[in-house]
Amino acid sequence: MDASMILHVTPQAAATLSDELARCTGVTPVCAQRSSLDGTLPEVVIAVFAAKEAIRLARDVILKYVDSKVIRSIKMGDFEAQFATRESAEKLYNLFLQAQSGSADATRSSVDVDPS
Amino acid sequence: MTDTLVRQMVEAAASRCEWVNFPYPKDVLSPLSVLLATLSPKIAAPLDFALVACGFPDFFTLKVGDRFIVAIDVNYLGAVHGMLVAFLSALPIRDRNLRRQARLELCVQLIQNYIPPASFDDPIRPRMNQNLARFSEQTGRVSIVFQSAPMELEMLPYDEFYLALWFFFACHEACHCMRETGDWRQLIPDDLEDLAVFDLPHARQHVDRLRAVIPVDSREALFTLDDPVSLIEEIFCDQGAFLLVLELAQVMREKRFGEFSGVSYLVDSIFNIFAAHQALLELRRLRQRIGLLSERGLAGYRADRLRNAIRFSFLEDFVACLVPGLESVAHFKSTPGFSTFGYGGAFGIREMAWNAQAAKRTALDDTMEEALQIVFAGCL
Repeated sequence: MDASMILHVTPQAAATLSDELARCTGVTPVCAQRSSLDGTLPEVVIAVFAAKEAIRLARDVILKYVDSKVIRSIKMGDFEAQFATRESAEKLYNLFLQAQSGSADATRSSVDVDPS
Repeated sequence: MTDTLVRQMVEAAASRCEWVNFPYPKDVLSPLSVLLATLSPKIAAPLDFALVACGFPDFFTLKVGDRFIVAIDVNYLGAVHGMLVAFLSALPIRDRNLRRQARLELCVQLIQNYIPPASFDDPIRPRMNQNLARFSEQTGRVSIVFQSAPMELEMLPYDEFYLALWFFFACHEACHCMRETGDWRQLIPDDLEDLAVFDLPHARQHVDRLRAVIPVDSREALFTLDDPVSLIEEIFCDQGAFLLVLELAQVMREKRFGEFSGVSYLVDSIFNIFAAHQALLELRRLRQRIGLLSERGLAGYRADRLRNAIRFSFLEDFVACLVPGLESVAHFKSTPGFSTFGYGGAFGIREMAWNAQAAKRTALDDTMEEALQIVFAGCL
């Protein structure tokens, strides 16, 4: 199973989040600015490639930034939350870590919970 | 930044990525390589294309390090093309009710594809399923296929419609890159500066010009919308993209790459593509507000329609000023080149674009709103 983490975040806080991730995991994330044709929601994609341990260490930072609505969506391995909330992020972490340890079915799935 | 890493980033940035072809080969003679060769010298930063297939159709630009990558999603182009074909197919239906019904089915199908019931939890999901089942019972039709396969798109003849479909969005994105690198001024020749909208003062000048055609409630809306700066950016890039596609038509002609019949067909095609694209954007944005599916969400949807109306009016005005003899898109005559679909292009425009003179919404947008009411009945 792929052990990468992809975050879609608001541009304003991307640099801070990236720095914080680098500090707490020891891995420097790769950042790319993404703009779509509709022009309404530019965002930054932050990727931590193939680093299971780094993803585990980043848990608190991720949840903190989900709470502050900086992170729009999260993908960890084959699991994703298109609309990041604390609930979906926690669920995602559990599934990802279980899948990594072989105790969960590692099929691609979305963990979106009621985003309202 | 290595190509492998950039490729991984494109894959990460794409919505439910199915495949990525990056970097797009520059040494193969193809319309896209001609496009890339024409655009690259205009931007003071490395520019590349990535052909992608997104599970949820998308079209985006990625800036990785100092490189710009325009990701051309074949599924997005397929959705725009297919939707246009499906919508135009309904035009010859003489019976007004049947025509409306055909359009409604298309819009309901679009909503199902872009905001599927599975995206929702209880109680919205079962209610949506119920609404869709009822609609399907009433219409007695199977779903409409509105997405063209990438292969079909590549097989289209190299003409103005091809340029509009394959080039317009990529050129729009390239204009964003030029804004960022500061190369955008060279895009607008001196004698056209008065026509372009590249900042707020220019936009204000144009609002005066557009008073006659912009819907009354939109006249000052440009300046009261949440984010006029980003809207002006989009308007500029629409205008820039139009100029670039005109230039590319000339380049393609010189390279004897296809058959071109004239500027009116190009304009015709761009406006049709643009209208279909805007309808898709509205659904994309609505989907992004999926958690706000409420009165507030629908209010946002209407604000997006307003943004689109403004963009369309500005592009229409720009084109009308630029192309001699074309006072307004609404006055275009049917062009023989539109034989790709076998229908009169002017009719398509009048049906699909914003009806500027009457300040009314187009059939597509109104039908889309009606379809939303059907699908989400009782959900709000």
